[in-house]
Amino acid sequence: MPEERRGLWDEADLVRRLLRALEVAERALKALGLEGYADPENPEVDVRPEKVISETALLLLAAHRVREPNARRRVHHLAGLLAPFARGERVRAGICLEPQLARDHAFAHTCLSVIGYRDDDLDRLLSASLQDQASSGHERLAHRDLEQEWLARLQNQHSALRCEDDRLPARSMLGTGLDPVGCRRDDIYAFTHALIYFTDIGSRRHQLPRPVTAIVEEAESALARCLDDEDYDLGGEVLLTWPLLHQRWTPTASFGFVALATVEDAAGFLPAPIIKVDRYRSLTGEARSRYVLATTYHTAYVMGLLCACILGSGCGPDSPLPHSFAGRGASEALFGLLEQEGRARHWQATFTGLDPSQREDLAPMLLNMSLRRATRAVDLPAVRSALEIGAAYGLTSTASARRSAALLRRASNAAVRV
Amino acid sequence: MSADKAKLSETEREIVKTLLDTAAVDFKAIGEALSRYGPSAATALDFEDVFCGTMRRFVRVFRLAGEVQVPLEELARLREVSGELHG
Repeated sequence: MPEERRGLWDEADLVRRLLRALEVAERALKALGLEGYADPENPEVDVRPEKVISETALLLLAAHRVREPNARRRVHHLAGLLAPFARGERVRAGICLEPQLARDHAFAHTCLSVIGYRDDDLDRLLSASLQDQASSGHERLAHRDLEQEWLARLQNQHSALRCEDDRLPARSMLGTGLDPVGCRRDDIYAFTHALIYFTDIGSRRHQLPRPVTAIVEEAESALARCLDDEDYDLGGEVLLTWPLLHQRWTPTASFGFVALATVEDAAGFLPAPIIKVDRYRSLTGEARSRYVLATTYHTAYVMGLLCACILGSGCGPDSPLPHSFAGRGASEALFGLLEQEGRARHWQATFTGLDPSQREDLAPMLLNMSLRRATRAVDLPAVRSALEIGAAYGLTSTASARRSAALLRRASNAAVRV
Repeated sequence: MSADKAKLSETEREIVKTLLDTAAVDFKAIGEALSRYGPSAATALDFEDVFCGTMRRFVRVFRLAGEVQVPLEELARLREVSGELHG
């Protein structure tokens, strides 16, 4: 079999996408950093200023590891703009009054400190608040506990202080595992955030609670679901798996990045369902500008975060996508199954634009999508059809196939008892 | 008696019927009120606590199973917004 020459995604293109996200960050910070945004016509559009400030800080933390000069200049410019928001009176009052949330209030301050913008007064206030007995008086989900430990590591990186719970990663999605077929959006969110915090956004290589191959396989299932749902916010976060874990990008992951980049280029930004063009058209001036930023900044940040992590890790998607030399036809059979459903998804146009030999390596992704759609619709015959195609082409060793087969067995047993 | 009928006493059934007949429960108003919070409530509300089971509810609101998917706008339409976002 000939050895295929594989290249990585163009670095200049990644930098361009990152710089666009950083430009959005500057505008978002100025427009939303003080008061946030609430749309009187749609209560779903409700952005708190703290969220904008914290997410800007996270983006900067990832971007400051990128060595490209323009990106570095932009990061330092933004850090200067962020500091008054990150260390204002509201933040100081929060740290003082709510010791149990002190690290959350100090999130942006902590990120700025790591970038090199310190504030010793605020550090002292934070330390005093954390010494209060009340600082441990708050119960959190496992991935949120991982976030607290990560923030503690960032705060204490210049000292020997460490007090981590070794069992915590095993209790998070990194240890328990993501249901590749039936998981909910919240589960994927918990998975991606656990990864971000556990790896210190890719800068810490620590023993994972399970084999990395199992975690990557679950990420592939989650990515297939996000692409098929056109959920680019979460899809972008799932793609972080590869650079954060310093893993070689699989064909599915590389395809996922191509799909997101294609959507970003077509729309001019990576969109989320919350932005409504009719509402945008009904507004003018500053109200219109604030509405657009409030409904788009987050996914723009996700794309920027992803590009920053790829650039920072040196671990990027393949370009062009790899060619399979197997040529067995699994991809065609599964795509035919997915095409039977009326509405075409964005990824389908990207997929059909590929060479047939490139599509073949995406058969596991197509099987994941088929199983997910069928399970969501509680269409057990469709689950069976997808599994039969998977079995015919030797694709059923995946976790999603095993879970789906188990679902069919349970359903069959339940039917017998009734 | 079926399992469903066993869940309500005769008096409880009468109460439900009276509530419906007298229009004491304004379903239109409830629908309008809930529609304001529907999408966020779908992800924010906890399951009800059934441990004690001492409560009797005469109005129940059910959430649809699974997650509600809100479709994206067409990418070509969103291109119009891009100019505003990037200045």
